Amino acid sequence: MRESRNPFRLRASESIEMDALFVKLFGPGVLELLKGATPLEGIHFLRSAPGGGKTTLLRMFTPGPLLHLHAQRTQEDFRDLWKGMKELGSLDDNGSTLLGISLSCEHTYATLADMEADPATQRRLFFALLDSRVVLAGLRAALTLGRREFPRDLGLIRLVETNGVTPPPGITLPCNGNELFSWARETEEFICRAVDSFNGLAECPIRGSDTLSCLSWFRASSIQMDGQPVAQRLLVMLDDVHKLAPKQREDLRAALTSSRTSTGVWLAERLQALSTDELLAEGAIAGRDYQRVIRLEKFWQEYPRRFEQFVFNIADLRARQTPGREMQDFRSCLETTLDDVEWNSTFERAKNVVRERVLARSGGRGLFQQWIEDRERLTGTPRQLALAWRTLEILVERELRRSQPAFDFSLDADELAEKDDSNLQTAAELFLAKEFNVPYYFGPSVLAKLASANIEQFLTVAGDQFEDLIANRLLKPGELLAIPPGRQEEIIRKASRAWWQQIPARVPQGQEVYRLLSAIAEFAHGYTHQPTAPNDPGVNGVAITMADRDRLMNQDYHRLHPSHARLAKLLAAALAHNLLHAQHDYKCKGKLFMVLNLNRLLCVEHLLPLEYGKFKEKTLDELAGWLERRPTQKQFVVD
Amino acid sequence: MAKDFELATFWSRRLGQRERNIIFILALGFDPRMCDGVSVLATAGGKGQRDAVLIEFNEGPDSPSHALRALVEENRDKLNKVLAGRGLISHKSLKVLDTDGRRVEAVNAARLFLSIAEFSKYDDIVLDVSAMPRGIYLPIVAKLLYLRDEARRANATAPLPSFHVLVSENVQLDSRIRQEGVEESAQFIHGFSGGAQQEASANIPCIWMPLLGEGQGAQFRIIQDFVKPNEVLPVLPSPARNPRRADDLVIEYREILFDSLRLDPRNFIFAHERNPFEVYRGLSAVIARYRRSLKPLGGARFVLTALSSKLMSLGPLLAAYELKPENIVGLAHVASHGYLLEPAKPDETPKALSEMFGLWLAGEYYE
Repeated sequence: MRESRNPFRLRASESIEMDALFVKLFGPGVLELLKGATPLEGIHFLRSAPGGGKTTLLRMFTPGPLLHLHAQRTQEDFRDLWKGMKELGSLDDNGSTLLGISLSCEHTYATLADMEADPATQRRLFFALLDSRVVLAGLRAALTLGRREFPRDLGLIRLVETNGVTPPPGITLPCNGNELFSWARETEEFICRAVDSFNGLAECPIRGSDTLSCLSWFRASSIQMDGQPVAQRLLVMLDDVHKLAPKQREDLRAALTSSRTSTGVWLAERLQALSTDELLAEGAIAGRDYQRVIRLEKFWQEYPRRFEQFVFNIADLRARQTPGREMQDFRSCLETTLDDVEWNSTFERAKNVVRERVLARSGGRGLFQQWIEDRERLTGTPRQLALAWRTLEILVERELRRSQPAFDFSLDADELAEKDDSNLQTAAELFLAKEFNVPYYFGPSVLAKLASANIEQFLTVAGDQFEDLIANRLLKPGELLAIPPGRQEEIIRKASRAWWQQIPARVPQGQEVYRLLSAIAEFAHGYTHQPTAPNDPGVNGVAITMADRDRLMNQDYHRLHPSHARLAKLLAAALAHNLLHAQHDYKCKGKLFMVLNLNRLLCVEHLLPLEYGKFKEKTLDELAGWLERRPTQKQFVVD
Repeated sequence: MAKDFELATFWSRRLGQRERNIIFILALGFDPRMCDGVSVLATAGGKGQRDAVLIEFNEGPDSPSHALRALVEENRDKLNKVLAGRGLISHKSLKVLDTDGRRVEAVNAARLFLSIAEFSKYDDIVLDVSAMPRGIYLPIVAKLLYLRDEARRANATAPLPSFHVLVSENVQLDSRIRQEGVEESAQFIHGFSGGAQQEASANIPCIWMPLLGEGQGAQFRIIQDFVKPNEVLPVLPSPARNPRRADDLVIEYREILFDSLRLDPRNFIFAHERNPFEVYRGLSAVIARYRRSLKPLGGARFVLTALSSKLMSLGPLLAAYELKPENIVGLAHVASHGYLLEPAKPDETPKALSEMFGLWLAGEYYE
């Protein structure tokens, strides 16, 4: 296989075949997700939108990467990962203590549900197939963990009885790995052949069972090699659970909940698996029946600094993989300042234009005299001065538009300093960016924010930036590898546009979802870019009351209000694909709200701020109406 | 295989030899080419019954294709006119979505025809795939071949009908038909998972051969995630009407192929753009070679995918069908939620650019 030209394009879980490279590129920060729980025991759900990093996390707990990490534990590069994995109890100084079995639910199961058979037969065959595959993957994992070869050394494995549980027909305990493998292979073969034949399930001789029976007899203590259990713990990681038919998913959840197994079970699934109600209620019902539900994006949203650290750690690991490029730190390649000579003339012009406007708007009135004098006295870079005048312009507008104008006594400079906070400055930066075409979206922190807590989204945009670095190296050999702010923004804007354009193709009912999100973005743009900068630094979403949210989850209400039912479906689709972020039970003015913020990469195309927290309330009728017509200017309420 | 004038001549001669009863199978859709095939045969003359089975999709209330209902009704009227006085039109409904919202068109398409006896009074079965999505026509072609072969194996005494496939190709029109809302995950065409899905053979290398087509990058990614191949052998259309087409496709897919998959350029396979039998031969040869080479290491599994034109897509189907008893070749595919037809450009003349191809897949020619 050829070396990767741009390692940001590799997807850790699937495209990186070598365990050594996988472990090298694995960002240990993701283990934070599992802290505070006993992740190797009980049933855990891992949920995210596509590209959240579930499969990558699962792979780290399989024997290959665990063995490699153990071998490299003394190396500086692996220290954090080793420490994290050890704390979770998957490794100790003697080696791996965990037999991790990773299994995708992608193949055959859903087709099995489509076959013509009674529900009981379907259910039994579903569990029989799952049982057989857990055993097959478990035998392979056990041999890998014991550094033996599959299938040659299957005879070295013994499965013994440990708790008096009767195994399914065809297996007599104790038995060796070959016997177990034959049983599982035949079971799988019969079911797959029946599913794949044009004659249906009638030809399948397997009876199956009503539950995931292997959890009771295929246990850590009963799988032995050289007379010893192969590991202290067994962890079954079922990936792509969203690809099961809904009934199968339901049966699996019920079987696991009632199993009281000592084996740890992880179920990784995309948010699409959840119903509209579940998606709209996410957060409210999580953790009801299970040990823990881990929402990957939600976790990172709560800890943005950790996320930034985590993704730049991944970025650095990848940047180092590029052959012939002396780059240790991807972050430092992203320039962060506009106080460079290149932008001085633009900011000087901006300052002059804004200053003239402020003077004209204040009309020589004494009200703003001290504020203007304060700005006239100010020293700093042209950017700082332009920004100071632009914040003043917003404040002047606010004073002039107050319903009860102040007397013409001069407003003092302390009041100006008090009002001139970071939110106002961010709004002013955004306004300057729009009016004078200066970059707004650049720098490492912005790049991390633009990921909207999704790893794949980060790698997509960071990969685009890295592409530029590769090109620069060729075009400007010997020069310091760096991307100036203007170019960063150009790349980010292109990525944002592409993200929007992909919505109709990627998302169910994509055209309608696109229309709804575009309307929200247009509304947010109109609202944010008002002269008074209400809700500074601006909004990038809307909110509905929790009471309205409850209505969207009520089937009887749907029947009476079909346009709201349609809205509920579209909101759920957008939430499932990480295009909207929901914050539930947000308290404001004595009411509870569900805040719906746009994915930050989508904000760029409409020149919106990236900060979450500010919103404008909307009714269900208004939102549903936007599906038919764009928001009108009248709806951008001026403070 | 024949096209346009040759095809019309073939049918004129065939239908002129003796009285032949023909059954058309076609799908009701918005595609303006829907009735092209029936029209060719209707004007070819000859005596005998000219019946049709019209497959009607039930895509659920949210399908974007509903916007094209007027075109669908136009096609229905056209079909009624073409077959007026020549035969009967029967209808089969194809449920695309299950009650839980999952796509089940492939498995339901394979269930549309259950026995070769359904065609006992016909001499020829003519399936026109021009207005059918891949997920529907591939299982139907496979099922009809299977039913016919089963009957032959069972030594059926009654003569079996010949099986033909018609496909109307129009590059300009195809580029205006946009897939809307691609499914999240791929699936194997019903009947063609080819052991690729079995955990017991997970250690056997999986070779994926996708036939590349324009604007299918998202689908490529989804199927790649599904297949998780050990080796990728992209198939490029060459020879092609546009000699640069293969190069253009490499440029379009460069990021996926070279940055993500780290593909060795020697892995490209070239196949004839307009001859599915050539495609079938090429793929079969590659499969045979890989099987030979990897036999000492335990063999190989193969997955074929058509992201290309409908005409080319018949090549992988034939290759997979031939090797179905060995359970080593799968056909992977990703469906979409619906289609949109972009308006024609002012200078576009879609009809003039359509080419009708006919393939004789089974019948006396081979026996």
